[in-house]
Amino acid sequence: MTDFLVLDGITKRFGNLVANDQISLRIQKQHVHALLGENGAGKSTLMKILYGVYKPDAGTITLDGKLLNIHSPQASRAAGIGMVFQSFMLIPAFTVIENIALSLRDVGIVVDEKKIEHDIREISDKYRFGIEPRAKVWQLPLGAQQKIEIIKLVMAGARLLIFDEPTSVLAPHEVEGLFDIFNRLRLDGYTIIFISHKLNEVLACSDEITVLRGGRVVGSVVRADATESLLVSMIVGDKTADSSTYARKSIPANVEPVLQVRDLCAKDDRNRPALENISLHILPGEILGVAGVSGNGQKELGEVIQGVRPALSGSIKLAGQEIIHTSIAQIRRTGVTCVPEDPLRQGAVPVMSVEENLALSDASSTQQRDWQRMNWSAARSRASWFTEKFGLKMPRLNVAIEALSGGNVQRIVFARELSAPAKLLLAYYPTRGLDIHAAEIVRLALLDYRDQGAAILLISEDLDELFAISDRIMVMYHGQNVGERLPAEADVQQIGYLMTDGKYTPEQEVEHVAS
Amino acid sequence: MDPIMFIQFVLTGAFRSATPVLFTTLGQTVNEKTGVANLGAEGCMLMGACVGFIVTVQTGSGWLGAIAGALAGGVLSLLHGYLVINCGANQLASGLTLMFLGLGLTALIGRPYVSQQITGFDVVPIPILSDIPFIGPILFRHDVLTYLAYLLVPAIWFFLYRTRWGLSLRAVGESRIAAFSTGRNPALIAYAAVFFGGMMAGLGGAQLSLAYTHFWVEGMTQGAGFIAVALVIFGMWHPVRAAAGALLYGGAVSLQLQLQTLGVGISPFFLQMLPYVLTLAILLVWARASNRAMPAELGRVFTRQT
Ligand SMILES: Nc1ncnc2c1ncn2[C@@H]1O[C@H](COP(=O)(O)OP(=O)(O)O)[C@@H](O)[C@H]1O
Ligand SMILES: [Mg+2]
Repeated sequence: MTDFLVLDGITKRFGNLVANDQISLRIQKQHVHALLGENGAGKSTLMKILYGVYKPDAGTITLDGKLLNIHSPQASRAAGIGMVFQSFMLIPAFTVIENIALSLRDVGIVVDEKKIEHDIREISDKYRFGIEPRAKVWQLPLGAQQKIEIIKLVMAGARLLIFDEPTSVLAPHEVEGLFDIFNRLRLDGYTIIFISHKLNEVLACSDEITVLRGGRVVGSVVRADATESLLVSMIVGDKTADSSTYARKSIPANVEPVLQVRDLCAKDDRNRPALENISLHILPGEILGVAGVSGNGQKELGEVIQGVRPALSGSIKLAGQEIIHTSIAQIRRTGVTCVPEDPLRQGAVPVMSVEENLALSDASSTQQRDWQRMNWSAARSRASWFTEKFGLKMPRLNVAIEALSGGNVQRIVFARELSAPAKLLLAYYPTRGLDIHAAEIVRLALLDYRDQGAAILLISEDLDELFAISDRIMVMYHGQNVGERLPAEADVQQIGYLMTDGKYTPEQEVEHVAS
Repeated sequence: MDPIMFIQFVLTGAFRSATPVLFTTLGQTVNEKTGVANLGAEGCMLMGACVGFIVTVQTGSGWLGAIAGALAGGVLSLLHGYLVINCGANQLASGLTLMFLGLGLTALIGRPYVSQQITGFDVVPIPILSDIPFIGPILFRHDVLTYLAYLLVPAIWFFLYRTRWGLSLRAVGESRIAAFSTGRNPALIAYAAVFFGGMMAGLGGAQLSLAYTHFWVEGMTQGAGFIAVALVIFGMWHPVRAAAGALLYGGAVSLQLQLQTLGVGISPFFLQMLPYVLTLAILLVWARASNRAMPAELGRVFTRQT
């Protein structure tokens, strides 16, 4: 075996925070090498150093036996390194062709769009991407954008492909497709670094796994030696990962639901039906888990309940009161709060500091006696209390929130929304992108909130999570409620069929039992 | 007057009056494509008009004047580039300051030249084509700079949409970080575009003083630079549509001039408002539609990382 990439003693500091501490790593040619670790472990930082975005404070990079001097992304690309970032670097207003032309080194002065289009089609066909080169990028789903990034790297002649949490933007069924692509790429001679914090994904696709913790390498194991329990202990160290089942609360049968939705219809942004006569209810102190492939009306459901999106017909009763046609402010006052899907953009002001973002929805730090003056010291102490409670690790509280890693932003917004009592919480993918430990904290916080009497609509793509903490699971398919199950009585297969097919028929049951 | 003749005069005038604005609009389209708007375009036009005039008086060569005017506009715009790109200044504030700087500076250095006469650029009819009835005089009896302005429309379109450089330039205006991560230097590209935008405004100003009026007077652009910035929006950041906008504006100017010479019973002050009212109306109708085409980075402050 040859060491294709050797990192030696890589160190990177941000102020006092050591994001990468003497990291050394060997990666074999034609391997899928997984980097595993909690949020903030330093995975993205290490990859950005490799790609020339950050300059390391110390350490060397050797690729294919040659010592590299990487001072810019350009130098990195010239050396054959390509990166698919956590947030894509595509230009929405450009066509696929234009985006790819941007990343090519040897386009002529006059860009030959015909040739680029031809090459795109060739690669797209080879790896079965199904990409239309003349489409504008904003028209394409995230999964397709990821494929464009891959085409870009392949066409730019990269041999080492870095994927930073590529599965976080994919629906579950797309993840397998990505691993297929990894496999075909590897057979074609590419080497792949795959960042994730999902054990099952890492075990499903990698040849070797390196675990980072607190900016250091914990160790590397080849796939054959890796087990789930070994990896968990490497990731969390001496912390204990509590995965015991959670206590459910029994709810009296005669209470009035907090949320009662009847025959609700609404359209999506492109004016297509998103909700089609959906009905559901949630009792106080109940978590209703919503299973479903994303894009089946989950987003619109939450928006209509919050009053952000108009309903075409139907009714929504909150604590017995009709809320359709009331104002957003009125709905919030009635007690609806939301942890949005994209916390940085929908739940925070990116350029404001952590403190300011926490103070945004906190009545106690304003309205203090005189003239609504801000009480910054109260806000500040509350902010440190928050970060302690949620185990957030960050250099200072007065940094702009956009500088933090996605997982941290998510936890901050989550913490803020749960800090005040509400009747109804809409939680969108609250643990998406979080590591095991952080996800656990978030789940416990949700259960705690439920036990205080809140009704929770939990939208998640993690079926294990839905089964673990929901009191009831509802499946959404094409804007409809296609079935509800009690977690204790349902099995994953049933839910899976409902999610992908909208129905669960006796024949499927036979098939499922037979297999 | 014969109505056909009237229309021919209006249209001929439209092409001529549109030229300074067309140059400036094309240039501003290019620099706004990198995300930098330059409200100082008015100041750059004045620099072009004034310096172009002075150099023509001194050397007797219209061509040297035009080149000097373009360079003067370009150099002034570099100040905007420095403030906005290097110092992270607000684009509106910097642009407005630049406009006043241009106004003051040209009033100062142009004072001795106010009553001077020059030949500058004469009308050069294009053989054969200019003899076509009606069309000929409208399209083919202009000065060389006017021909140049219209030839630049397809040239700039080709540059922006068919060349590697145009692609880079547009990428900077859509996403500096994406441009940077594909190995480009957004600051440098934005600088180049701002310089080009300033040169085009300077050339537009030079056409005004050297070919249109043949004299120099303080503040002679009368807001044409601002009109150009507005027309970039109407043109949805596309050079061909920008040219259409400039022609509409030129048409309004020409119409009010012709109406004045006819002596219709409308206040000349009111007529002079016509082009500006037209521009406002255009923005009113087009604002929403054009927003979709706006470069995503337009107006965003330059920071250290990008
Ligand atoms: N540009 C930055 N400035 C300051 N701190 C940063 C910056 N980027 C990352 N960090 C910090 O460095 C640590 C490692 O972050 P990162 O590499 O993004 O972790 P991971 O990708 O493993 O989740 C985190 O504590 C994060 O807050
Ligand atoms: Mg990361």
